[in-house]
Amino acid sequence: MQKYRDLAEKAAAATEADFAEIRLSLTSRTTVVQAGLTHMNSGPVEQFTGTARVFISGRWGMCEFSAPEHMHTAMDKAAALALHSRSDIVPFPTLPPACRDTFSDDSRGVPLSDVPLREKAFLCRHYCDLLGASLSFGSARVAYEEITRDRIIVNSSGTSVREIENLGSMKTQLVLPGGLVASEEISLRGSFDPFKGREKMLDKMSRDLLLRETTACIAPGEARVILDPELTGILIHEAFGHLIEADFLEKNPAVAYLLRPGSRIGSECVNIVDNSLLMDQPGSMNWDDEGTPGSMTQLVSSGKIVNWLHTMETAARAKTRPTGNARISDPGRLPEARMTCTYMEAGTTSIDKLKLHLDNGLYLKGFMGGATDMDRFSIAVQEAWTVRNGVLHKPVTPVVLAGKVTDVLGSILDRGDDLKLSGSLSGCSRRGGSAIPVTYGGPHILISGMQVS
Amino acid sequence: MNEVFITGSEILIACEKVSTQAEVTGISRRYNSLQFGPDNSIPGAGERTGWGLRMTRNGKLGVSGEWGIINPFRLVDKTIGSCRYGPETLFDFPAEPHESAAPEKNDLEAITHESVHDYLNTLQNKIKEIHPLANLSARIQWGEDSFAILNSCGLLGSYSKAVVSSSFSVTIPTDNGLLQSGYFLKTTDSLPVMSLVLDMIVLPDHRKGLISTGIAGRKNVVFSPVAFSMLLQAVRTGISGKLLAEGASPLAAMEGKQVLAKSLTIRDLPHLSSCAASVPFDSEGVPTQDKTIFEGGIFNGFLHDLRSAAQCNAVSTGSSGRNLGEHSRPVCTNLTVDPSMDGSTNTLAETGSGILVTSILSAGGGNAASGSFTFDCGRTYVFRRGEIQGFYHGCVLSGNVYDVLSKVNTLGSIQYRVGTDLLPFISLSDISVR
Repeated sequence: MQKYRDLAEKAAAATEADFAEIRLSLTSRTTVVQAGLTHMNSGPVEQFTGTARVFISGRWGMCEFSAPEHMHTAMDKAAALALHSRSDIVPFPTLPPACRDTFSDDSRGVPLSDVPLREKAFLCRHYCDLLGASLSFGSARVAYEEITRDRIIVNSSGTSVREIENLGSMKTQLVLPGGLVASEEISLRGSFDPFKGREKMLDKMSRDLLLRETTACIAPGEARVILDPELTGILIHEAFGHLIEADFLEKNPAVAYLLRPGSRIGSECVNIVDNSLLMDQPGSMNWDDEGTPGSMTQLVSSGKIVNWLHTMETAARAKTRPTGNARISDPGRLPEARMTCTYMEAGTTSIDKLKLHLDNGLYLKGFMGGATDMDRFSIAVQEAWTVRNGVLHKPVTPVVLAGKVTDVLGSILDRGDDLKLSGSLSGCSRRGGSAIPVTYGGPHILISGMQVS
Repeated sequence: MNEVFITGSEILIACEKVSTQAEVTGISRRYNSLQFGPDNSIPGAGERTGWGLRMTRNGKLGVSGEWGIINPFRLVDKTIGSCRYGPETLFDFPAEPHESAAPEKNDLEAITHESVHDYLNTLQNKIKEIHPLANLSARIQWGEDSFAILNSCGLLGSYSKAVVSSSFSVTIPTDNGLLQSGYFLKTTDSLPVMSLVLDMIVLPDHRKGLISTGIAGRKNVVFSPVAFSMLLQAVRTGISGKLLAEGASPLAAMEGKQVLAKSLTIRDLPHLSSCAASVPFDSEGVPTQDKTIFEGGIFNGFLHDLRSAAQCNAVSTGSSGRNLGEHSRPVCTNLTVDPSMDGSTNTLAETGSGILVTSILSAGGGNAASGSFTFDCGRTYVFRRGEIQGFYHGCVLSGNVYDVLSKVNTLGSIQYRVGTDLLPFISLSDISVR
């Protein structure tokens, strides 16, 4: 890729456009799936893509290319499209300081892509056998996915950065004949080691599932709840995070006004950050897809909005600085303001103390899926338990949480001292685009009332 | 395509001594695009080329693929590696060569960045006539996709088709929060019919206001085609021969039996003209065929690719789908639900009273193995005597998809495209609403 980077630097330097950017990416994807006795693996599937983006007289044009030798033609095509565009004129993007650097996960130990496929296949089989043996009926499935990405971003203002990422994910799932599901996913960046030695966790997962086999139904309505760190993270991501992405806010002035810096969005104990520099997390980036350095952005402090997530374009329109959150979901698409590693900061209360304050509420754990229509959110929960005297008492049927972000963030009474991050390689998708890796998390949180059904 | 076949033949020759059977697939896509927002629209263009290789070696099946920079020898090496841990082969690759289909005449040249910009501007103005504060964001991509396949058993085939992918999102700020609707569809050689797009993305009159009284109980529920498509996800998975082979399909042993309401006929139609998922043969080179999956509610059988057919002692239905370098699985192409032949276009009026669901929020709220679902519908609309009375926040529907689809009140008489599906409005009775 280095020779293509050199070519891109020359092409960007020679442009007569007001601004030009070339993105190159070589992605390799491998999957291993063990479902019962059936083993399926695919890949590695390698994909080279390039995108040229050009800004001329207040208008953009872009062109995707699939072979490096087409780079110059793509630059010319993007320029021609910008010149003939019927778009309104937009401000010149706010560029970060020029930077020329390389970052590779190789520099932090043995990357997971160097571990042989047979070792990954063996581990999936081993875990699947363990899960299968723990149940006399039902099915077990273990899926491993690995993505190696070599990204290069070059622009005409002198930026040329290259980042080599190794992302891995392992999802284990047990399904009982009635449809009751237990699943657990671990996603990370860098080393393969955290995927090993998970036997005890799997044993607990299957025992918990069997405990939940006979569950009582709960009446739908409002309940006092504790969310585990994974659900806290999903709540922050789905219900709040998507609202604070500047490209959404600038299309929706009424929401932008509600979420203007300084306005209250949650209770005093709510502090939320987006930190793309947690380099063992799948959502991390040393540079975003426009070459802006990654950063830690405080989004909410003591319940009040501090910042939005910006790209170079949205930053220019908002007359502020880009936050390093420009991400592309597919080659040939525009960078969008997206989350990276977004989480609620921990407090000082222990989980035991939080449970004592739960009264007759519910302890909720693990998530099955979540979505938002930018006003309301919905989160399918994997496990729900009643709590008596601070101790988990009885499992109840899995529930769906729903509500409005302002209502829920305002109802957070306290947060635990146990920050934990989760993530997924395909954790976040916006309409029409492919999913991108993200990290989310937080501590246990106590909420005074949430709609549960 | 000749150039593709020459390169493909070279890859096959490289596989000769290292595999029992080998198959090469080539994909090429050329497109133009326009991303449209309230104050900016960005024209784009692009091309993408990729190769996939599948081979059997020592009784195991291996796959690999490359996009962009292609190195045939590396591709062969990777596929050999994949065979080492691949599933058992179980089947032979097909041998019958296809007559390469001449590219269908299309009208793509009539679609330009300017015409798409004008189309979206007009659409935005029409939406603003109804909701002055509404904002439209959209992305339209149009171009030609080509696919070629050849294998060591003598199969040779290729086709090209025009595809227009359109994705729309509308947001409307209101006193009761933000209203959002989204719509994605694929057509072949023309932009979507604007009046049908408006039907899907313009929300019912929000000025009727919020209904604060509870609507819990068992109700008539009308699903818009977008929501209906989401409800059908479990059926789409349930009819897959792969799920049957894994012993997890709720439709096992249901062939020939009444499963859904008599008014429901669901088909998979890969030969339907002007539909983006239409193909002459599937991704394994097996000729496709139009299939009636449920006829008058009676389940006719599963969709199979070569592997699931071998596992279930059946024949491939030409339903293989796969991304480049991945293993095949049975998939639907153009999934259609027959519209009502005698119904009014106004499903709400036919139903009388109930709730209208235009979108479903819950990701992960459905279970394909059992058909059970719990869907948060976000915002739903309450109607009486066929008229919208207002909207309701936080409505949750639950049940089993096969149960609820056995209680059809009525179907709309117009089919709308949702993705590559063709679906009418559907009114179902006796659904648990909380």
